[in-house]
Amino acid sequence: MKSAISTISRRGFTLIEVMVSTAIMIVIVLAVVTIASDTFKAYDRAVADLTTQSEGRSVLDAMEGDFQSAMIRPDGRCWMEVVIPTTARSPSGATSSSSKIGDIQAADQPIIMLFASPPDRPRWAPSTTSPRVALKGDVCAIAYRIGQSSPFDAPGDPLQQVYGVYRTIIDPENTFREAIPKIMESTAAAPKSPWNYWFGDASSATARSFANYSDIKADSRILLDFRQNADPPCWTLDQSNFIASNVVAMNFTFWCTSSLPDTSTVTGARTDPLKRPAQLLRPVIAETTDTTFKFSASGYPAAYSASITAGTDSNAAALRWTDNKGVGGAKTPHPYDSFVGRLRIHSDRIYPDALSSTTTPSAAALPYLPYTLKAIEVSITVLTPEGSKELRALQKLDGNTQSTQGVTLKNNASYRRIVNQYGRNYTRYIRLLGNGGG
Amino acid sequence: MKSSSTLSSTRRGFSLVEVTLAIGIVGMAILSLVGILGSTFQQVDDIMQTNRALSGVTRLIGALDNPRSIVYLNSTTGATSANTVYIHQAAAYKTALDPNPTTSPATNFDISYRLLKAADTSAKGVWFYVYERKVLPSSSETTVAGDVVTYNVTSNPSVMEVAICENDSFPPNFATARNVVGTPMRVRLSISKLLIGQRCAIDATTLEPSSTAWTGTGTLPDSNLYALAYLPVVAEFFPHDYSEKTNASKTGFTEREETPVLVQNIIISR
Repeated sequence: MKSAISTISRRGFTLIEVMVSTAIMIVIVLAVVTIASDTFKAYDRAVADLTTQSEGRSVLDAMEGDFQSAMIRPDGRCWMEVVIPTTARSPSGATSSSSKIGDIQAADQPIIMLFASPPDRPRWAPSTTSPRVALKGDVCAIAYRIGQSSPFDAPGDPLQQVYGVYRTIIDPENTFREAIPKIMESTAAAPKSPWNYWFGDASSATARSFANYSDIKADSRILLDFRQNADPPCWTLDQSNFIASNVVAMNFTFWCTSSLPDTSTVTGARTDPLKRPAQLLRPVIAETTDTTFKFSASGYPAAYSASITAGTDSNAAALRWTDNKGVGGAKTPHPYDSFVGRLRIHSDRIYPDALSSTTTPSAAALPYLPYTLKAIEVSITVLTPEGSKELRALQKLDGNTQSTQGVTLKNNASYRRIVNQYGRNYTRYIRLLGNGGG
Repeated sequence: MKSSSTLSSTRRGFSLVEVTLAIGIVGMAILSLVGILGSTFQQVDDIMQTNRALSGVTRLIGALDNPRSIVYLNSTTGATSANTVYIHQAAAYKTALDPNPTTSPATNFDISYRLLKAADTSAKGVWFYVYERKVLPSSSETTVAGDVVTYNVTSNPSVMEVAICENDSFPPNFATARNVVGTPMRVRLSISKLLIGQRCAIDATTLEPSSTAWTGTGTLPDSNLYALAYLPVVAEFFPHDYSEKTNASKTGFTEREETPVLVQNIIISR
């Protein structure tokens, strides 16, 4: 009897019960795992979207405020300038290959310098004594650039190096004392531009005094140079000017109207060879040496290389670069609607690269583009957190030490892959209200 | 006997029904949590759509201030990346918008005004498409040879574009041909009710503003007889899901497709 009771009480599941319940369990577990996997993927995507968008908005919001209030006086002087380092036509001091930043190609790391009245400009003198003193004026010299630094490591430490955008604002009084006079002393024979203020007149960067609001003191430092491992860094690469991380490309499209007549029968005269109506917005963009990205047949065809191939470039044209009169025909595109190293912007004309105000206009050619800048379209590429993590891991695996151009990967193809796979584009069209908008 | 009975009851396992029920309940709980997560992700998508629409507002204002930058797409121009036809050049529009481009080119305001002057109600609204497009097609970004992928470019900048489409149709092949990234925004523009009560017409005889105020219906006069220095319009942004106009008269999209993510008042100035 005792044996019978023991048998009954210890009876387990039958084989069929175990198999059925196991099968049900497997089905449910598989379903849950699949759903969880999808959920995590969606979560990663959402995090990437929100993170990159947050970084992108930091840059684009700041630029929108600055560009909309940009001051471009109609006085024949240059009040805005773009410099692309490392290129042959960039100004003195920026042509060296050591002015490159990390793995970023030249056209993706322009420095834009302008004057504007941003609402977040410094309004009080940096003093620890009271009462505080209000700063006079509202126009500030502003510069944007991409740099590479670490929020965690000491300068020179190759770990945790991230790309980022730096926005530097010079307070109104310093701007009035040092920056604006530099522009005002410009003459036709000896033109000056914002570069002469930010980098200095000499061939190498020079120290300049400015108010350091992060340390509440007057500082004397080089405003702009290209060394990523300098300690302390130049002022435009100071951590207090860092506004967004993981930005690996910053591209500008300058939309302009023209005073070139679109109809003229005079050969070689000052006409737009594409015969675009004067009011039609036309893009001026940075040229690049990238083999796929350049302005030539089968490349980036939005601008006006002399070698544009009818039927090839026009078919791939992505920017609004011409109307149908210029496409597929024998029209010679305008040679200066792109720039390689620098773009100097006046209120009613622009000087790409080597075009100079010291050149005398002739009947056959103007030494400048008679364009009025109406809007700037900004496109930035931001790496997702996952992409940034992979990039930093590769930097460490490659064992590169930081040099003047920061940390680079041994193989640029890896960098391109990461940008391609993890880069997110954010674009904003910003009208220059101070120059007529558009 | 007491001992064996107790042993039997305390060691009794769960029945198959109990186990199945328990697993079912747990599964339902997990699915519910996943459902909540789904709505969270939907909200993230909504935020992205709204932000995209906000970016589009700036571009749209720029396009209305300079309407010669608005692209016209039809089954021919939209299906290739060649970007050569603007709204003021398109055969369907140029006579109405810019009839004498050489001898007397229309002002920017005139073109935008003529485009919108009949849109007194939402049903008569003018549909635009605002989208972000990469400069290079995705096929240029990489080259594939066997198993080896070569990445050609270090970045591929993008620009915003505003287009008007034939029959208000923007099918997927347009998006492919024009390197569109993300979701295009479909925008309906109509005249704002802020204009009601305004004396916006000029009396052709006296050349003074007419005493009759605009009532909110009816086409506005031609731009040379429009008295005001501005035109207020309403822009409604919808995420474009590549749906086509479905009703018989092809005058609108379905109600489901007409829930705007953003409504914005825009002033077009002379």
